[in-house]
Amino acid sequence: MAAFFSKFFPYFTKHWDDMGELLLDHLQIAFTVLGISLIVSAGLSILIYRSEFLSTAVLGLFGAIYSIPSLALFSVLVPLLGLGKPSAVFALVLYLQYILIRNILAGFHAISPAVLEAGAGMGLSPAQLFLRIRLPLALPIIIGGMRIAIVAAIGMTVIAATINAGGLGMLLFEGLRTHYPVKIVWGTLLCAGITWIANSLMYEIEKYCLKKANGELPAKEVIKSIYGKKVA
Amino acid sequence: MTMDLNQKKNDVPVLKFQRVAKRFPNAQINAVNDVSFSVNRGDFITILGRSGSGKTTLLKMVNRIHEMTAGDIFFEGENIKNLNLQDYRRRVGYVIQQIGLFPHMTVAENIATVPSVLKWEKTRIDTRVDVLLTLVGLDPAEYRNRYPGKLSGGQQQRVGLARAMAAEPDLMLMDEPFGALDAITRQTLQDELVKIQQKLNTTILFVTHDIQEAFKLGDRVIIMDEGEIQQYATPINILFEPANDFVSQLVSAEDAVQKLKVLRAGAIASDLGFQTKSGDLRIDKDVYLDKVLARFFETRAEYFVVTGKDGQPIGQISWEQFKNFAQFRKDGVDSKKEAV
Ligand SMILES: Nc1ncnc2c1ncn2[C@@H]1O[C@H](COP(=O)(O)OP(=O)(O)OP(=O)(O)O)[C@@H](O)[C@H]1O
Ligand SMILES: [Mg+2]
Repeated sequence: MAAFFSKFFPYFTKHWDDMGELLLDHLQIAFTVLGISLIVSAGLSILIYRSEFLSTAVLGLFGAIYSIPSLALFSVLVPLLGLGKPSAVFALVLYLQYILIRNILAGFHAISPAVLEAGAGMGLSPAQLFLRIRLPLALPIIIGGMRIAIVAAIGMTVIAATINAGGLGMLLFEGLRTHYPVKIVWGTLLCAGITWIANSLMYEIEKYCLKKANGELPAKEVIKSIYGKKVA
Repeated sequence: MTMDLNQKKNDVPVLKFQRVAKRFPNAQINAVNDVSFSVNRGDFITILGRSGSGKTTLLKMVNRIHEMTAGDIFFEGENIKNLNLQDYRRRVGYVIQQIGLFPHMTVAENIATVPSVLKWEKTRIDTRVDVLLTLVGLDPAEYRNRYPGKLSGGQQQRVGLARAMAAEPDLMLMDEPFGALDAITRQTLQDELVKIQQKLNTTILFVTHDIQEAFKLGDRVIIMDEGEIQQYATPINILFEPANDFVSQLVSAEDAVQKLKVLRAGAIASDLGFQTKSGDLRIDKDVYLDKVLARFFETRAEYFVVTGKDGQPIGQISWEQFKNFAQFRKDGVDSKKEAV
């Protein structure tokens, strides 16, 4: 134990630049995955939104993929896309579809039909209805999905190191292979740290959007009247 | 030129149904069947009928939430199928039963919805919002920046009404707007709606399944059953000349006292026939007959002079005549006067 602690901090002072690189690499993979996933899931959601049959079918398919262990999925993809980042990103995008599509659909379906009928009946165009009514009301649930997706992406990126995709998993697995607990602990700590930060950040955004959707934020006019006077 | 245009606008019915029918996909029968009627500018029309009689379907065909499957609807003389859907809907105020306020927008933002898509100037919108809030009995300073979640049911209903009136629509569609309210709030809002309607001369199509409400509010009442119009007439006409068994059964359930509550002085006034004196007691044509009865008892007057919109005498009600009427003998009524 004492041996562990005598190496723990010196390891950091010696290797902080390598660790930083792995950390950035990790974040880069996770956010690339998230970005691509968002675009794909938004597109798919638009295609299937109106059809209950398609919604069930597509969610069922991605639900099944989501239940495949990541290691297994990586191994299937390596022969097709090779070792490294492309396979990892592809697999993770597949995984996140379930979480994201499920929440996007849930977000839009949770909007009261009366609210939509009122909006359409008053003559809002489909685009106005989407931007002014649908999106702000669906956003809290969508952001909630993004929060879970980010956490999942950061976690699964660790596993992606097994197919040489880079990131903090490299540190962790190297530690495992070489029986070097200090590396394992640093890898775990950094990973948990960014997960925690990402989760907390998204949680705040989610809370803000929820308050906005429920009409619990102070009205813009009120904010203006408070700050407007101070500035003037 | 403008005169001509206005003249034309007044002659053409605001709304005209021509053999309109609606069959929902997979339905065996028409929800609305072969309906024809027209509505003139400034009319307050109520649509009365049992649950499932097709009232909502009829109303929603007007703003094309439901598409008719046969017939034509004309808005100010134009076939609504030829109008740009969004532009048209912005000219038709819509109050739905479930209110449907936007929960993420303040009261002011809700009310400003149509004016803002019509790109009104901000100052004009702000003024309009305050005018409307005052009109529906909410203090602008207090309610402008509230969110719908922090309003009572009655207040939400008022905001819904203000929102529908925001861009000065030519026609208002209201689907059981007061359905979910307690009796007292409901009555207050009914009275306010009548006042607003008379002040602005708005044309209103108002769905209800409450016979009292239909007769109290409507200048004319459309009685619907099984997707068809059973009768379209003034309240007094429906009460005294029901068109068929269905209507007579519907109205016979109303006792004499109830009838006094839904008919107005103007409906039973007879010709003046004499020069009014300064001592004559006057009564507005829109006062309900139960109030008229109360005033006969209060004042022990022999007759009242009935006055119109501008306070001009337009007829009289004598106690003798009122007594006859209150016993609901049909000969107590001059049926030509009912349309006042
Ligand atoms: N979207 C729909 N799809 C299929 N059938 C419908 C639809 N909306 C209404 N109907 C049917 O059309 C008929 C008329 O319904 P409508 O809603 O117009 O009745 P209503 O008079 O408004 O009744 P209520 O007083 O209960 O609101 C009913 O038989 C109803 O089941
Ligand atoms: Mg209805």
